[in-house]
This record gives sequence, structure tokens and C-alpha cells, in this order.
Amino acid sequence: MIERTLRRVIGATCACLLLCSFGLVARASESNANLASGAEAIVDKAISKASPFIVRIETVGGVQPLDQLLASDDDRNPNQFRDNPGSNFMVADGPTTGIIYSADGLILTSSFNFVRNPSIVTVALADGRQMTADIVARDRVRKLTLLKIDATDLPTPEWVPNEQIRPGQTAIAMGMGFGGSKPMASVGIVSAVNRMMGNAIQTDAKLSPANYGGPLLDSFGYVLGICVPMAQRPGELAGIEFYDAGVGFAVPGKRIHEIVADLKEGKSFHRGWMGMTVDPKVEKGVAIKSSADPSPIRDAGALPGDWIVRINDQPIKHFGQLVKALYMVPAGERVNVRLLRGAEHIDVELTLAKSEELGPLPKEEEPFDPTKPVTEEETEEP
Amino acid sequence: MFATDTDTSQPTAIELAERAEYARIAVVEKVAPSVVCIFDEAERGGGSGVIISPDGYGLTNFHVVEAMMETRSGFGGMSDGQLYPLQVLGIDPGGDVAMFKLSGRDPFPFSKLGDSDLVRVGDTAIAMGNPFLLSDDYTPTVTSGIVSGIHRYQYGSGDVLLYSDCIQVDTAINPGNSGGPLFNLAGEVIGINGRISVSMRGRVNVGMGYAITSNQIKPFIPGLRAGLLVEHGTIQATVRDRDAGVVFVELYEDGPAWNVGVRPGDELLRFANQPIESANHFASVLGTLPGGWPVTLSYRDATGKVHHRITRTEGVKLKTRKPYEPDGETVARGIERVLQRFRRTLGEKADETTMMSWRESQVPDELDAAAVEYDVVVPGNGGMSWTPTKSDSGNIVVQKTEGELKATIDDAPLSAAMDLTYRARTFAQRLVETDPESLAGLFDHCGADALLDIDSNGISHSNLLECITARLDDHTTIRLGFDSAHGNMRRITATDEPTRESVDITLADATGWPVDLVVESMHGKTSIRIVDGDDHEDIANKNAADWMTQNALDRTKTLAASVFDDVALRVVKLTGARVGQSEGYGCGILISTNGLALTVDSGLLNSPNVRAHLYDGSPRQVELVHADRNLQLALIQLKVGEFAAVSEGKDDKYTCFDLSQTPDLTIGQPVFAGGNPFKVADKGEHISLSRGVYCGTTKLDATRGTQDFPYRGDVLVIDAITSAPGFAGGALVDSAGQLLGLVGRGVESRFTYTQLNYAIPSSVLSEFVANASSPDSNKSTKSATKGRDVYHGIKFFELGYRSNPVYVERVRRGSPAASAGIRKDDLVIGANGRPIAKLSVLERLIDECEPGDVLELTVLRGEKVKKIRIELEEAK
Repeated sequence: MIERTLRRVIGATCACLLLCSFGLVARASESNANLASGAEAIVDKAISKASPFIVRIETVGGVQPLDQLLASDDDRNPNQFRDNPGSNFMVADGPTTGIIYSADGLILTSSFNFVRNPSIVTVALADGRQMTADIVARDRVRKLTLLKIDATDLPTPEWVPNEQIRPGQTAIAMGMGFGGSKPMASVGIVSAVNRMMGNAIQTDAKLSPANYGGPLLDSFGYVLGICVPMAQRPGELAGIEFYDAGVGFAVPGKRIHEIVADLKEGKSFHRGWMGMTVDPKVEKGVAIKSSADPSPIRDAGALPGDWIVRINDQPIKHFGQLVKALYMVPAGERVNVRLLRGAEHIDVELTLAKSEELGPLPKEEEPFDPTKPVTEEETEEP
Repeated sequence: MFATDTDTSQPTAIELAERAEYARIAVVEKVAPSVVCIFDEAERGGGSGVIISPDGYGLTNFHVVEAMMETRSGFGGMSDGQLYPLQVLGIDPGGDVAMFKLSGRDPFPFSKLGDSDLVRVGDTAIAMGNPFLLSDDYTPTVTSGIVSGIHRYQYGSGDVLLYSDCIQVDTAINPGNSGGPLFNLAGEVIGINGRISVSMRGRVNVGMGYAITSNQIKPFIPGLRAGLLVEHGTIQATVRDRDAGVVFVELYEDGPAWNVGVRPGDELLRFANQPIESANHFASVLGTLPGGWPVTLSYRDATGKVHHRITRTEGVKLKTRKPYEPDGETVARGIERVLQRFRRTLGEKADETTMMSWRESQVPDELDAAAVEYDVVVPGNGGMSWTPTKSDSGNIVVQKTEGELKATIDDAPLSAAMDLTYRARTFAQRLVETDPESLAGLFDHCGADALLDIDSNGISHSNLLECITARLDDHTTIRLGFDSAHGNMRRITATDEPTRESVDITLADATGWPVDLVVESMHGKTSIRIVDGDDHEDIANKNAADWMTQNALDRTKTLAASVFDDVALRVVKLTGARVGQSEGYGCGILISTNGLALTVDSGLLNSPNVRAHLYDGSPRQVELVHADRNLQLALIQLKVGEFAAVSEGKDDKYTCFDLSQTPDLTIGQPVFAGGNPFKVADKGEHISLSRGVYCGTTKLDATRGTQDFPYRGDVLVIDAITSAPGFAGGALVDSAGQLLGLVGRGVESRFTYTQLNYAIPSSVLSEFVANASSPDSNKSTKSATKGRDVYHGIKFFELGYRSNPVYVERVRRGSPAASAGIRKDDLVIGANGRPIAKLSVLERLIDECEPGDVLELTVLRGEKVKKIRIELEEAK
């Protein structure tokens, strides 16, 4: 870290020096190839620094998540709150990417690489060793997975502190996904530093299954984050539709460390549910149509016909905003919900549940706001 | 701070690149606060925009605010995390532009409109906006790329949403980016992003975004600011490409073209001060002009005589869904704003100085009919009828004499200024009409005073058609020059009478952009500087910072530009048969000066009438020389005779790629791809250039549609998107312009099930060319004959058609596998370095082996991973 800060200071001094010495640089009107070779050299150095901690992950077995969805139908869960993968994208079984997280064999990668639920996972290190790995825990919300291999004294990366990440800086994504024994690089810039409710930075480097799970590096080879597919909705495959489109995401170091602290203890993260259905015909606002029994929303005392007007201080004006307020909150985390019943505001706190923890929806229609016609269609709450 | 660092040596390449990165970060930080995330009132949909003045005026696309036209209100989120009320002002449905105003902050951060005429292919282009409405905190998404094309024309639907003369970029532009700014490296807005080309994948970026140029927006800004429905111009004539050139086909009688003598069959030579190269080009130029705009027009009639004329465009009346009613209050405010500006500038000076003096007294009293159709006059947007009289104070008082006046202007100095603008324009126009070929006359009238450029970039005297003279005091006379094409203030002339130390006046250029003009007279020398409004402090620092940015990044610019110069000449555009899904267009690369070219082996070539268009648009018949289905390559011949003929007298412009060179490749090095995706370039229009890096090399294992892709050799993977239709057959080059490979056909990688961006390496190309020219090669080689089958002795576990993990069910005793140590129940997870997850993949790999080859299997035995080498034998 010290070396990095130094480099930054030197870099800044160079820039300032330039301001005061026009003539010098103006005289240095050397070939343009210089800048190109400089850019090349920078990326080359960054890659060399990062290559030792990048691993290739191979999996055997498993099926398309689409199949899971079709096969399971209703017998898995008695309720209609199912974990939809979020896309019909066919997931290949090619090699994927991860990084060494700790010298004692923790490997960090994206949960995208395991949506097929493979039976066997192996990890190949940069030094050529290949070994089987155990899945320690998965975060299906932030799309991360922690693996463990039986090895020690492994090289580990250095992370860029979140507050030093700036839009416009160079971002290099590394991945093993197109095959070959060496990681490939694609280069872009940091597009934004606060996305997905603070869980991701954004980059225009081309991210795809070829580098999901791999590191996003700065131009010194320090890790900005772990590349993952993401979009503003739930689903383990959500965001795959943006592959190579210049809209990519990486979970930055600070979040990674917080999440890994839980993953290390074997705690997995699942999509969080309130357990209610809403009336899609209601355009202005979100009204509860019915709720599963039991479910967090019902247990918090909400009734059909109540309006949801705020979640965690975010005003909720329509269903889309409800989805946006909750897609990044895993089961087990608390949210504050403000309900509107008649003219009365009711503030409740509830803990989102896993889909398996939800009971069935009531068979008979419960009393609903009599001023609104009850419609046939229903939309699942996120 | 700098005292300790005395290193004055030249920066190293790495330092240069680092500075470029710092400069980019600095530019992003400087301009990002001016970017707006636009939402409709319900906060469901939206887009992007950019603030261009401190009082909150901003630009976006019409299609972004179209849904808000009912209430004309929405919200604008900025990177300070705040949502501001947004009001929609004037709209330009024809050009897909709209102006809005935010309120609730003073001043708003804003960005300056740049000169998009200076944009060149290869320039870095930074886009900001809110793609997919991803921003929770209203900070924009920043994406960076290069300008892939200029003067692009994109069809609209009928008269609306037409993109004339737009900038094409490979910067990631996605839905939601619409209306957002495209910046150059100096942080100036060079365009408004509004469109993308999309492929079968759906509505996501595939490296083809289009921005409306800032210069075509500028003439409309006063009208947009005033809340009007602005009109584009037409000359009531259509043209078509003929062999002879661009020819008029249809004209409306009494239209602007007809009235200056143009008749069907006449050839269009120049329009709006530009030589016209194609019908598309004419449409591009015309599409940028407002109605009522003065334009030059040169044509050749049936007798061969060339005429130079000046006419005025007519406004295109749009059929909007509902009649557009400008909001009276907004219009009044818009006018008031213009008034204030002039009060601030020339008006206030009028009390203390003799305001204007005219050398030319013959200002016409009559006005042409087109001019009086204007409802509201705003300087920089055409003329209006005014009759000046002198008031007691000596100021000029004006009254409108024709048409219905929609706003009353009772501010005498201001009216005078507006009148002056008009009269100067008319005067200059008369002058040019009298002698269109000689603009020198104009300068004679201006006198031989010192001419100082405000903006010397690319401005030539021929652009300068209109002048205003203003006498600031007894000793200083200042003259302003406007370019008639865009109405921008281009030049300032000042007399050199040094009795005052300095005079500061604020002017507004025709874009409405407030600028401070600092006139300094010292020791007999007059200097004039133009600076951003409200920004007197730290001008030196700012200039230094800009300089640094420019200088560090200009290098990249010239680099890409020089690469483009090479590539553009050596890539040809192909058109041919459309077979099923495959495109009827593509590219090829020239590999010899006598017309040999390489392309991909595609259905395109299955036509007797395959044509290649060279960089200058000249068509060539194409003959297939040799094709290889396994390599998916084809060698073609452009008809030699004609080709050679064209290359004569072109200063060796017909250069070709050198296949004998195989440049070294480093992962992450910059590369450029040239091609014609989406057939965005027609005939003589230039190809597209994309920038990316070389990601690495891999063996291709891919499908095209439902079929296996036959080529299975090495490919260069790149992160520029070349999988777009029509890119195949284009060139991949390094930053020195050296050929690295040929852009391959669109395929899906089996490793990822994603579309792969790749090129076939030049070493494979040269081998193919060598084989193609060997005597025994015939027209087309079918699949190479498969060699002998191999024997390994393993029986794998199979169950039905499902793809199973590759378990070893049995190993034949004494077989190569047995002696190598393969055992029953081993799970094969890799072969020859490639991961194996299903049997079909392994079988395909073994199929390609010859007896004697080594097959290295990675197997899982219990928890252990083992690598086992099997020497394959010939199958009996």
C-alpha cells in the first residue's frame, strides 16, 4: 500500500511539474508511438503483477439454471415466490476465473461460475498446480462465491482503497474464460464508483463470462474489485445481458472484505423476500394485494390494501422503485418500511426471508381496498 | 512543492501514458457535474442531458422528453445527489434535440459546447449519461472510446429524428445514454448521444453509437431557448447520385433552389460552402441547417455553365401529433434573456460611447420574403424587418414594420443591437451576392485593421461572410465577424489606437454562450482574449491545465488518426449476395497493389456480381481466386486493369497491407479494427475505426448459428466489438498501422456462449495466400482430408444423449491409455490444456489428433488432480 501511495504522489508531482514546464514537454514532441508503447507497458506491468494470484476454475457436471426452474415447478416451494435466474442465457461450462483471496487457500470468484451447480470444482494456480476445491459459501445477491483449496503460502493481491477509486481511471479486467493457460486482459475505464446500492463500481471494460470472477485492476496491478454480472433486479443471471456492452460491474474491495467475513464462516446469502403480491394495474404507488402466511410483511402487521410508500428512506412511487429498493438486500437483513393505511403512516421494521421460509399465499381473496377493482393479474414482489 | 523535483529529462513512455490517465481523470472530474440524469415526472423512464449554461439551460434528445410534452416537466438529477425540477423548453423533433431548464441551484455546473467541425476519426470520445438508469446517486456513467466515423447519416422516420452529419463512436452508448453529452478530451461537448446500432442481441451497445454534432445544434439554440418548435431547412429539391456526380432530380417551383435558377438535371457542386460528394452528403449538410438560413449553392446547368448563388432555406413544417404551442411565458423569458445579454454588452456601452458607425450606408430597406416569416428574432438565427430611427439621446429606436410582432421590444439600445446584427448580415449577404467568388471585397470594406483570430482552428476566410462594426469609444473600434454557415462569431478585428489600457466587454457568441472578451491595448499593441464567462480567476492555471490535457492526449489523437489514414485506404467495402442469415455486405483488405485482397469465406461471395468499393468510392468487380472452408478465408481479385488505372496519379495512395511482417504482440496492447459494420459507410464514405486491446490468443472453438465453426486454429481475441454484422473481413492493426489479422466472422464461443471478437492472425493469412498461389490449388478447397484414426484404448461412460461428465468406464489392457496409467473411474476434466466438461468436446479433440500425437489428459482421481500423457497409436 505504501508503494502505491508513493506512486500516486510521484504521479501527481509529474502532472504538476508539467504545468510549470510547458517548454520542456513541448520540445519533447517525440513519436506518438511512445504513448502507445507507454500504455502497453503499463498494462503489461499490471498484468505481470496480477497474474500470480489469478486462478482458472473448471467445473464438471451441473445443468442449465433454466432447467432447474422448469423442472422444480411447485413441489420445491409451496408458495409462488421462486428464485428466477433472471435470464434465459445459456451458461457454458468453459473455464472461469477467480483470485486468491488469502495465502491459506481461500479463492474468491463470482457465483455466476456455479449457477449450473457443478458437482466438481477444480482450481488451477498460476504455477501450474491444479487441485479440487470446496465451495465454502455463496452470495447470490452480490454474485460472489468463496472457495477453499488445500494450499498455503499463496500470493495474494493488494486492494485499492475505495476512496481512491476515481471515474475515468484505467480499469483492466482479467479472465481465463476464453481458454488458454494465461489470463486475457480487456481494458477500459472506471465509469462510476457507486452503483448497485454501494455494492459495485462500474466499468466500460468488456466484462463477460470470460472474466466474471476475475479481478478488475488499476494501472498498477492493484485490485479495484471482482467482476460480476449485475443489473438492478434480482436473479443470479441478472446483468448477463450487458456482457461486452461497456456496462460492467465489480464488487470493490471494501464490500468484498465485509462479505467475505461472513462467507468465511459458511454463511451464504440468498435473495430476500417480503412475501407479498401487488396489483400491477395500480400505476401510481404500490398497494399490497395479498401476502404469504407466514411472511415478513404479514408478520410485521401489514394488511392487504396498505400502500408501501417508503423503504429505507427511499420514496416508493411505483413497482419498479420497490424492486430497486430491495434487489440488493439479502434475506436476513432488516429493512424499514413505511405503510400508508387510510390517512395513517405506519412505520414497521422487518427482516427479509428466504423463499423457502415463506408460507403459501391465502387461498381465498382477502379483503382489499374496496375502491379498487380486483384484477386477475398479479405481479410477484421482488 | 516542486522544489525538490528537478528532473528535467524527457518523460518516459510510461510517464506519458500515466499523465494521459491523470489528464483523463481530471477532465472527467471537471465535466461530470454538468451531466444530468433526466426522469419523467413519474420517475419511470428517462435519459440523459447536459447543462450548457450556469443558469441551468441544458440539451437533450427530443425523444427523451417526448413523453413529458404533456406537462413539460420532469426531474434532473445531478452528481451532487440532488433532483432538480426540469422544464422542457424548445424542441427540434426533426433533429432529435430539445432544450430544458433546471431550477433550484445557482450557478449550475455547466460544460461548454465545442467545435465539432474539428472532430477527426480516431479522436478520443468520452460519453456520459445514465445508461439503463443505473445511477442511484445521479452520478453519470463515464465511458471512453474513439470517434469511429464522421459525417455519418442515419435515416429518421419520415421528417423526424433524422441524424444528419453525426459522429459515430465506439464508446459504449446504451439505452438511457440518450441525450447525454459526448465530450472531447478538452471536456467540451462535441455532440449529444442519441442513437445506437443494435444487433440480434437486443438493445445493448455493440460499439456503434451516434451523436448529433454540437455545431448543428448551435444555430438552433436561440430558438430552443425561447421555447419554440424549431424548423429544419429545405431547398425544396431532391438529388441523386449519378455517375457524373450529384444531380438534381425533382424541384418544387418557387422553392429556394428553383428560384435561383436550378432545374432538374443540373449538377450540384457546392452547398453551404462545401463541395458535395454524394446525395447522402447533401442530405447531411442540409439536415444541419435551420429554416430561413442563408446558403451558398453552386451548380452546373445543362450547357455546362457553373452558377454560384445564394438562397435561403425554407422551414420544413413538421406534422406533430398535436399542434405545438409554445408556452408564452417561456418565450417571453427566452426573449428577455436575449435582451439582457445585449443590455449587458453593447447596450450599456451605448450611453457612454457613440455606439456604432457604418462605413457602408447602403443598407437595404426591403427584406426578402423568407426573413419575415420569423416569429421571434434571436441574434444568430436569421433576419427580421426593422426600421431604424434616431432618438433624442442619439440611440437607434426600432419598430417592426412587417408581420405580426409576438414580443414587444422597447429597449432602445438592445433593439439597436438587434437591428445592427440584421443589417450587418444583410449587408454582408448583399456583398457576397454581388461577387460570390471574391470575398476579399468584404475585407476591403472592413478596412485593413489588425485581424485577430478568436478561434484559428480550421476557420478560413471563406467562412466569414458577415461583419458588425462597433465603436467602443473615440479610439477603439471593434469589428465582429460571423460565419454564415452556423452564425458563430469567428473573428474580431480591432483598431490599434492605444489610449486605453484595457477594455472589458462581454459578448455572447451566436451559440448564446456567454464569453468575456478582454481587449488590452499596451505599447501600441492590441490583444484580445476570449475567456469563459464568470471565470476570470486562475485563467493562467486553467489554461495550463487545459494545455496539459490537450498536449498529453493530443498524442493519442494523432496516433489513432494516423492509423486511420493507413487503414482507411487499405480496407475495401464489399457488397454481394445475401444468403440466409449472412450479410450482403462486408470488408476485405488489400494485400497487393495490383488488386489482390483477402476476406472471409462467406455467402457474400456466392454471387456473380460481387463489388468492392475503394476508399474513394470507385467500384471494382470482384473475382474469387481461392477460398478455404476450413480457414474461412477467401482470396479475391479486384479487376486489375481498372484498379491500376485508378492508382495512377494518386500519389501512391493505393498502398496495401504487408503480410510478411508478423508484429510481436503483448497482452493488453492497443489495437485498432477497421471495417464496415452495419454498412454504415456507403461507396466513398470512410470505413469505421474501433479501438481496443489485444486480450490474448486462443484456439477457436465456436459455433456459427447452429453449426460448428470449421476454423479451429489460433485467433487473436480483442475487446473492440467486431462481432457486428459487416465487420468481418476488416483489418486488425497495431498502433503503428501494421496488420495483425483479419476480423473473423461472427461466432459464439463454446467456452462462454458469448459472441467472440477476434481476428485470424496474419501468419495464418500469409500461409493461406502462399497456398492459394501454389500451382495445385484449385478454385476452392473442401475440407482437408482427414488423416488416419487414432487408438487410445479408453471406453468412456455414456448415457443417452445427455452431456455427461467424462468418466472412464474401461481401459483396454495393453492399450496406450493403460500403459500411460489411466484407470477405471478416472474423471477426465481436461485434455491438452483445455478443460473438458463433456464427452463430445473430448471426442472432437481426439478426432483432430494423428497417430503418434500425445494426448495429455487431466484426470480427477478421488480428490487428486493428475496429468497423464498418452501416446496415441493408429487405429486398426
